[in-house]
Amino acid sequence: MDADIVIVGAGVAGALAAWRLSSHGHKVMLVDAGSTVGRSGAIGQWSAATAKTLAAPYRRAETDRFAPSPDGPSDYKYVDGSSRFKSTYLRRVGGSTWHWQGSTPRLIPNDFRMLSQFGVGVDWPIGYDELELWYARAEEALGVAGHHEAWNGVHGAWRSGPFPMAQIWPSHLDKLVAEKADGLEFDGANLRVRSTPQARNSRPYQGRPPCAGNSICIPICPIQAKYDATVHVALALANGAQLLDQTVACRIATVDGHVDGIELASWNDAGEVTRRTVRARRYLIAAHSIESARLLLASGIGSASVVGHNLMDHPTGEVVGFAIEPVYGFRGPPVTSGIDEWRDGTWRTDRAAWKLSLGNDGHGRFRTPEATVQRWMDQGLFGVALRKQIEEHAPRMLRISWAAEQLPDAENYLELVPQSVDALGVPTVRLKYSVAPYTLASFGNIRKLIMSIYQAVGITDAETASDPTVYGGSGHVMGTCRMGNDPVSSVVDASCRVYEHEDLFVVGASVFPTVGTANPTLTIAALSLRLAETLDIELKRGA
Amino acid sequence: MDLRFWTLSQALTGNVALNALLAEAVLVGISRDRTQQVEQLLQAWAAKPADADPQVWIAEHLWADAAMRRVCHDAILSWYFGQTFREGKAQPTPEVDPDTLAALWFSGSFWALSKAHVPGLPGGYFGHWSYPGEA
Amino acid sequence: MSVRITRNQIFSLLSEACEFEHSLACAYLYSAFSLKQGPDGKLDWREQQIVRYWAGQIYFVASQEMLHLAQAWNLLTAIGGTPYFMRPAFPQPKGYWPLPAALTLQRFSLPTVERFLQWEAPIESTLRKDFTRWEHETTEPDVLFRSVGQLYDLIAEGIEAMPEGDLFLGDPTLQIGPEFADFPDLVRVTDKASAIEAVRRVQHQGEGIKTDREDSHFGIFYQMHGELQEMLRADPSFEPAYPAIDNPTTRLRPGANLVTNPGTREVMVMFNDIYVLAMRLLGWVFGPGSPAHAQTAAFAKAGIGVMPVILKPLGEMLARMPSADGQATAGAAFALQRHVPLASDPGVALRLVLERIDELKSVAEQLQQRADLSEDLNWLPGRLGWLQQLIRVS
Repeated sequence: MDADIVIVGAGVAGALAAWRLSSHGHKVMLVDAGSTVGRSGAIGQWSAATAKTLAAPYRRAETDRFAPSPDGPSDYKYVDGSSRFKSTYLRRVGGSTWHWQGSTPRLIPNDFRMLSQFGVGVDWPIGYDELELWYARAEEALGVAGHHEAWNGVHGAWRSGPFPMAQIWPSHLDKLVAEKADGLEFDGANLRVRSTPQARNSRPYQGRPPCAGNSICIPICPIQAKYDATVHVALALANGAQLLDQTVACRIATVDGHVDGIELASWNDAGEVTRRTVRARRYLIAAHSIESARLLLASGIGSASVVGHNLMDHPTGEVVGFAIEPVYGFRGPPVTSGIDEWRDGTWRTDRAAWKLSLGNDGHGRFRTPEATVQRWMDQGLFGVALRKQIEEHAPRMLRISWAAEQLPDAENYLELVPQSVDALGVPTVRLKYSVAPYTLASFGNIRKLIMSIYQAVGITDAETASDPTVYGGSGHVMGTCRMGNDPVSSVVDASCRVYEHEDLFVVGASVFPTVGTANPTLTIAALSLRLAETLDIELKRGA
Repeated sequence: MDLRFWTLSQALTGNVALNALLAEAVLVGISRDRTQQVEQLLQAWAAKPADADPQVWIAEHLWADAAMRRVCHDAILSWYFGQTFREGKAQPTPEVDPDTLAALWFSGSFWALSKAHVPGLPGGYFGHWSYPGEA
Repeated sequence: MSVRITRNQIFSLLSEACEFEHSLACAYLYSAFSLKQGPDGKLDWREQQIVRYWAGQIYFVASQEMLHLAQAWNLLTAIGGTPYFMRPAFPQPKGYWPLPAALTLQRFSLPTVERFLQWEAPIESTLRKDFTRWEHETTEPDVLFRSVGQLYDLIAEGIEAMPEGDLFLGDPTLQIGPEFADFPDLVRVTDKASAIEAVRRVQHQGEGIKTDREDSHFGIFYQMHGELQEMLRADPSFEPAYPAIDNPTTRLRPGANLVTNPGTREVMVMFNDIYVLAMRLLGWVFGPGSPAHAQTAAFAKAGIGVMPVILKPLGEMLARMPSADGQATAGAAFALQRHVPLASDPGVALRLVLERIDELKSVAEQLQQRADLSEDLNWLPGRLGWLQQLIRVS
């Protein structure tokens, strides 16, 4: 045996499991397809990059060759007729937490029981009450800043204790919107601006500094005030875990429902590849939703009508505008507060719930500042007049964005592309994806809500996508190896164990049966910590 | 440094504080595949009478020509956003070393005008985004 | 301490803590103000990154010292006292605190960061021996405490020793909580448990507990010291701060450095005036101000808001302005005036504050017109107007 447990994927799910299990004295082998990132080099690279995309700080020729990460919708292959999938992921040690926003809300109780409550989707095999303890531990592990009183009991999501840190200071914009729009009635609920719980230090924590407002959280925090999974990779290594970076898991070999090792391909910067098979008593796949499903499919594990299916995101949109008074955006984290009243409601029988975020980044993704300046130049402005226009209008730019729930749909999936392999011989995948009317039906309503907020606050020149079916991606890739009580329609059981495979587990957003409206990372962390305790018991029992 | 480009840049950006050390990089960036056009523009600018108001003169002499106007727009965007722009889009600039490109990014002037800071630099102190922007 | 604890002794210790936290805040702010945060042209982008990062860290620590001051005020009023404002002028005498480094206003530098470490170091820290250029050996036998942590230990001991019923004479409804003061960790003190909790939080943030030093002020400065040393090793000519003089003053005083440039002097006076106004506003909030009244919230918002919105840019400006004829620049003197507290009556306090802001606005308007100012003050009257708006909401 090479280890007690092999964990594929050194993102937040894998790193947390590696940390807990190594703390319990188990021999952990942590494998990641990507390279280790040097933070200051990454910042230099990002600063010099032409296209400041999510992957811009991290690009490396050999990594992009052997362990490529999609950096935009056109980096995926699609089944004919598919809509674009707008979210991406990063294969590096630390995973996608390198470039995540850092928001860490919890799912709410009804998110776990969509079928029994609303007759849509499916129910999780576990509920909020069972997961609450793990949510609390996840908040402590990641270092979440939040306001306990504001959040305790929202949509029934009770909290057993306070956040480890006081909330991140609300932005000037947040305070203005709260002042003018708190209490606004819409669709049976009254609006309240709440500080977004986030894994971003409001004071020194774990030896990392408090947020200094570098504002480039996406794609990288220069000072690690924002949590990323290298925190727990480092802790796992300090506990004696072994890390194999630049190592792709190519196939899981199985014999009679047991794993007979994972075939690894390690690559180096000279382009050389060495292969080996590693064996352990337990195996955990935590390789993000697309790669985890891809690995299972390439290994012939699970039913191909379930593995890879139910791919979900949180489709987004926004309304941008100009405030009457300056709101002083382009500072601080991109999102410090949100509006959560419509994350639940009886109408979820017919249409999607949604979460609103107030944007501190001008017009966000709707229109870049340079495109805005170009517009002003197209109106004839330049020189002193343009400078005055910028001084006068740029501090008034703001956005309110939404992220809506998507229901599981077997017709949203990834599948292996026949006769197509990558540089390491691993079969490639293609996606089929679309956003259903259930989700799109809410978009019109959301726009109305935002317009009434804008009216209350005094925001003019509002703009939104003219096509009501346009959606963006949240960076949330979920659902491809879902959890359930029924082995026919699920990939893993309530303990994240792969059906009919005693020693194989999957954890991550891939196991989410439904996605609610919460950014997934805190739930991922909670599930991973919970699973780590299960694995600890099994490994100690010598099972 | 091409002094013509420097003085033109100042006039085009409304005399914001530009980093003179980076003028060369900006000029190289906006000139690729159109060096002749850029040179024509700079010659025209150099021929401006000394007593002519720069803003008025630019509007009358440079704006009418679509190609010249495009170059001017790209120069303005480059200075404001700390990248070299061509045809309104940030372009790779292999002629300039990455460290200078990074320095260019951190000298973008849009952010200070917005009472903010260049993305990537710390904003000053924890929680500053809670208050009105810096003077 | 073998002496019987009295309320007066606790008042005395808490006032000492107030002086100390207040002095620390000023000293930290002074050094942060001196850091080159603008596009100076002389710092490359990597240096700019780290210099601004250090500034951010120091401002964070300074804001926590202000939190500690606010906490000490809550403790004082809980046991029947009043908020304590005073502190010695800078430079403070070497023997004033039983610490190896005196409290002075100095620009950011390696010796300055070493001084910070000496102020925040826990008593058992071996670091103290490493920094040899200290002015003062604490050999006096009757010194009650040798570190700030120990000072707070004494306060906690005193609180524990007195009967709870006797001790908490203050009106609990006047305690100021986190929703007022934008200090999320601020504790309302109403009994021994909350009092001890408040003291422990302050200690934890300052020197840290043994297992968590890296997250304390001490840990922050320790890290900063290492980073600065590394930058200097790589480039001995690295100069992250403006050449601001030590302990600047507009009035001749022993040990302080007189600023003679006329324009700079006027701006220094303006800084002092606004700083004192902030102290008066906050003192009123923590003193007679009742959380039940809108005026208290408005005063709190203004008193705290004035720091990032006015005092910070003004202080940073002063570190760039000429001190006299040479290269040296000046800095914020943090000079306190003699009469600080506002009247208790809300109506009178409001009137005094509005009058004062009006006065400061006209001075600012005249000031910005001066031809001999090396910096642009056009933003100041508008910001004072913003302050007025905040106050008027009450």
